[in-house]
Parts: sequence; C-alpha cells; structure tokens
Amino acid sequence: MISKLGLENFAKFGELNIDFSPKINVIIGENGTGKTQLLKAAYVANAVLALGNEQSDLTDKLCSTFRPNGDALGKLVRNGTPGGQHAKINAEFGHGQRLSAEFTSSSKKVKLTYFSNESGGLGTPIFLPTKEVLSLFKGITSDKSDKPTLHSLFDSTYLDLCEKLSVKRPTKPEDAIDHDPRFGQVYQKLVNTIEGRFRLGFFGHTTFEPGRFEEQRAKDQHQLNTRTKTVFVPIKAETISAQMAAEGIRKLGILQLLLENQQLKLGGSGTLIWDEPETNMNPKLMRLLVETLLELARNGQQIILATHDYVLLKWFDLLADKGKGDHVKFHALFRNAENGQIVLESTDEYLAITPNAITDAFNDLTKEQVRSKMGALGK
Amino acid sequence: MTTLWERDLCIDFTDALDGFVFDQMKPTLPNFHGIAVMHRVDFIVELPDAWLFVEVKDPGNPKAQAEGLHKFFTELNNGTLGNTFAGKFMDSFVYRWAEEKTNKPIHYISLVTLDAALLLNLSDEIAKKLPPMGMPTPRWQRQLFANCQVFNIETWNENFPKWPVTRLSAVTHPVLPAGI
Repeated sequence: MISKLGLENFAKFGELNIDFSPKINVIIGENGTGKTQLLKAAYVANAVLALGNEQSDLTDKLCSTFRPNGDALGKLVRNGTPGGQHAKINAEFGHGQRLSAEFTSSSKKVKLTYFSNESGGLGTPIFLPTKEVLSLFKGITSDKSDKPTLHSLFDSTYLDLCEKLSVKRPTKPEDAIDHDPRFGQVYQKLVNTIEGRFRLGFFGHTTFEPGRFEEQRAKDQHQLNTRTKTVFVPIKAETISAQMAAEGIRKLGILQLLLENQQLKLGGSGTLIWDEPETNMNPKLMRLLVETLLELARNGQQIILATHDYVLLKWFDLLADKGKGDHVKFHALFRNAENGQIVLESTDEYLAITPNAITDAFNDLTKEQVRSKMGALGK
Repeated sequence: MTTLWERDLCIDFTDALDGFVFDQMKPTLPNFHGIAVMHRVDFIVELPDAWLFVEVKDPGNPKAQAEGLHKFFTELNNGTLGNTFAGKFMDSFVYRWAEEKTNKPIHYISLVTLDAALLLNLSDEIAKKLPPMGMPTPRWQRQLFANCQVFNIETWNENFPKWPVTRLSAVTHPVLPAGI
C-alpha cells in the first residue's frame, strides 16, 4: 500500500506531499484542483513498482494514463515551471518499496532516481474511472477493435481495468463464499443489494442475472450429515444485457466481478483507487457503497477515492467504526488565494475538513435562500 | 438591542425593536404564555418591517442531556422533527393572530447545531409541512411566512451579522442575566 506521495512541478502541483492512511482516503476539492491527477499519480507509481523491475516503462505509463498534449512527457511539467527545472515524483510504499523519478519539459524519458522493490509483494493497483466500463467492455476487449483507436479514445485506466475484468475467475463464487468467509461477507452483500450479478460471457458479452444468494441445507456425499451451502437463486426475471442495467448498478457490478476473479483480492491487491464513485449512482446506493468499502478496508484493502458528494462523505463519517479498526483520512485540495498554488490539508476528523468544497456548496444554497427571501434583514 | 438566551446559546438582535421569550411558562415572569397545550417557538422578535419566529435546538451543546438528545435524534431519524417544528410555528402563529400581532411578514428561522447540509434538507421538510404544503394558492392574498429556514451557528452568524449567536460555555466569563 502507498504510504507517501510527493509531487513537485508535476501536472497541476507546484509542491504537494500527501501521507495516506493504510485504510481509506477520501480526497475532496473543487473542480480543477487536481483530484484525478493525484489519483492517477498514485496509480502509476503503484502500477510500475508492482511490475517489480526498473525496466517497466514509467514514461509510457505516465503518458498513457495522463494523456498530455501530443502524448509528450514534457507536457506533464507544471505550467510556469522555469525551463530546465525538474518535475519530480516520489512514492513510498508500506514495505519499503520506493520510486523516485524526474523529468524536464524537454525530456523524452523519465529518469528514475530511485527504484526499490526488493521486498516484492506489492499487488497491482485497480483504478475505477469516473465512467463505468462494463458497457464498454465488449468493444475494448474485442480482437476486432483497432488498438491505436482504443488508445486514442481511452486512457490506460479504462484499458487496464478491462484487462483485469477479462481475467477468468479461478473458482465458482459459490465455492469461494463457503471457503473464505471474508470474501463471502463482502461479495454476498454486494450481490444481494444489487439483486443480481453480472456475468462476462464469450466475446465480451456482458449480462446481468437477477437473483440473490441464499443458504440451503444440503446432504454431504454420503448422505449422512446435513450442512448449509450457499447457492445463487435466480429470480423469475429475464437476464438482461449489462447495458440495460442502471449505470450505478453497473459500477457496483465491477466490484463484484473483480472480487470474483480475485483481481481485487482482500489483503493481496494493490491500492483500490476510485474516481468519483458517486457519478450516476442513486444516492440510496451510497450507504451500501460505503459499507462495502469499509468492509474491504477492514480486510486489508487500501482505498483512495475522490468525491464531490456530500452523501458519500457523510456516510463515511457516520459508518466508520473505530472499534472495528476503521480509519478514514480526509484530504482537502484547494487553491491558495495568494499564489494560486494547489495546497493540501489532511485530517482524520470529518468536521475538521478545511476547506470543505462540498459543504461550502450547501452554505452557498443557504445564503441564496436568505438573500432571495429575507433581503437585508439581519445584515 | 434585544438579547435572548436559550440554555447555552445567546443571540443579540442588535437592530430589534423588541424581542421576548415566547414559550414563557412561569406566570410570574413577563409575557407569560399560559396555554401549555399549544406548541410554542422559543423567541419572537420584532423588527421594523418583519417578525422573527425563532426556534433553538442545541444537540451540539456539550452539556446536552442524554434524554433530550435521544428524543431529538429519534425525531430526526424517523422524519418527525419537521412536524415538531411546523407544529410550533402553527400554534405560535395562531396565538399571535389572536393578539393581532401578525401585521408584518413573518420569518421562521431556527438555530439547530448540526451539519449545514443536513439543515438544508430540514428547512425544506418544515416548509413542506406548513400551509400551503407546496400547493398552488391562487386565492391567497398573502403568505403565512416569508421564509422558513434552519441554520447552525456558523451559517447563522455568516448570514445575520446583526444578530450574532454566542455559545456561552465557549466564553471564558459569560455575563448572565439574573436568574439564568
């Protein structure tokens, strides 16, 4: 898991240092304060280090993830940085793994100044972009799709996620539920809440099968003892194509599929990074989403997400249970009024988030109602 | 200036013509209400061109009693808190109508020490429960209230600099009136 990330003259950031919680990190900030860039920087560092050798191409990964103008590495140097001055990335991970790199606006390749992954064991990260990918899965994974076109349409976060989704599941989820209670708890709850499960079929064809998991009594092979077994019980509704399912449900379906094929393996994956999970999601699903993320974190999964959504933020505040070891760290990105630089404030306390772009939006609504209905009263 | 207290919170209405504790149930004190079965807002304040009906709920009071907190959060959770606020306004309005004191626009503003975002929803909940309950009113010549809105200490002070709220326990040596 990533513990520290330092960015200097990189993308939107003049100088930014962030200490991550090993559990849940929530990044907030107005549009244009670099939330997605911060997520992508953490993703690239984790992805390259997880490959485990210095030859992994950091330059390519940066360009395919950030998509700078003309795919030119130098365009990732922050605007206004004096010529010749370096953009720097420094990322440190839980077991001493570390990556440091630098480049200038004229560099063609990133210079790795430090690369250590001797302890190994760093899982590959998962990046869930703003738009869900199940509806794109068939097109992206098809042999007939033109790869250069795909790369021009989607940054690597979309393509990497589809690659992870296309990994075959090692075992039937019903069997995994009975053998791995940690997996079973998270996975069953997810399926039962979205009232069905997504299936990836041949040629990338994706469907949604309505139903739920239930425990049924079953005899063992000698018909001597009765035991319970978890089975998926389809409900009498037609299986539909994934595109027909609501987008919010499809987003949760991605988690379901990644848990099934163990690309999201409790305690074994790299960081789970999610950009604006709330996009196109019914607010009523938000509680389940937060419960799922807390449960993943309780089982060793580090999570970093960016959000604009008060409901999501507040559910974390209300549901995080210190008695269960939950830790949610809030990181607020904002623009310094004096010099325009992006600055970061981190806190463990929801009420101490300063500035809080999300509650500021609510305060603006309050002010507008006072202005329109009470005029100058009290002023 | 009119200064009004509700337990740990103190509001200075610096430009008020008058203001008093509306839910005064001690017969010996001025402005004795006298009808216990009617619901009551905490304060009524007269401004040159408006009346303020003010209700204060302070779950954020460091000394709040467990019983009161439990009742407040139960009502917040089961959606009946809006009914409680709406009932207080309606009965207070009727009382003031009988006093012939509804001659200026009425603003129902409440001070509740919770997150601003939660209060925005509560404001709408209360307004929806007050006549005309969101329905069109082509025959009405005037509105029951000009504004119905809930604030916390921060948003209140930001929006009403002439009516500052102070938490007394946060002041080193609060100066309290006799009997408080």
